[in-house]
Amino acid sequence: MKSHTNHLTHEKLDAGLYLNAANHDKTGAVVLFSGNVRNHHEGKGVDYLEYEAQEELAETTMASILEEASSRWQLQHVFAIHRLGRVGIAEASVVVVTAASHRDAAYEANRFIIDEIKSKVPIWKKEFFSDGNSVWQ
Amino acid sequence: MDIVVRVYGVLKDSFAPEQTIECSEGLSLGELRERLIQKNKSAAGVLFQSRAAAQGNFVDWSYCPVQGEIVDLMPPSSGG
Repeated sequence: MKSHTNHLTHEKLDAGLYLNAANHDKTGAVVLFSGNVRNHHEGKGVDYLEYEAQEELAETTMASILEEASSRWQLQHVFAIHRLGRVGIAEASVVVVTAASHRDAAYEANRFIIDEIKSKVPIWKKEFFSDGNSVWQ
Repeated sequence: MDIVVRVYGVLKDSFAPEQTIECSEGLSLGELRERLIQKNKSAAGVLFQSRAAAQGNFVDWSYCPVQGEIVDLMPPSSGG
């Protein structure tokens, strides 16, 4: 079933759309991070990834991370979204956008958010290799 | 009493994604974890790195679920 909540979606991510939404008169810096699916991992060919989440907790955890970043770096705009389901090679699995008056804040906040997402948000990926094997990461 | 246990990610290699487990009242999630390890010892390492949730909230392993509660056992995140 297709679904799209605040921070999780089964649809393809549109980084350009998210970037345009960050425009603000007071903004001097916008940083967009796009985590994309690559076609290799540790020397093995990768065909695609599949993501799953404990969606309720993933939503609340991502919201909490964004709220903390917004407060710590005084962001004018903050946004993050993560794909679920099958994600093909070169497609984005996660996008994080931060906007602030100055670049240091935008960069630092963006790095904080993606690191927190990777370590704390209950999302898991399974890699499907070109040789037919698959493994949970 | 019965509780519903859901697992995610790599724990699905060791356990059914969702199973109903009969247990006595007052059983902690830590004790439930030991029961699961007895069923599949190869999952011990991951289970000891995992987080637990009940009814949509993170809980620690001393938490005691009640009749009918849904418990999520979640290995380390690997999103991004």
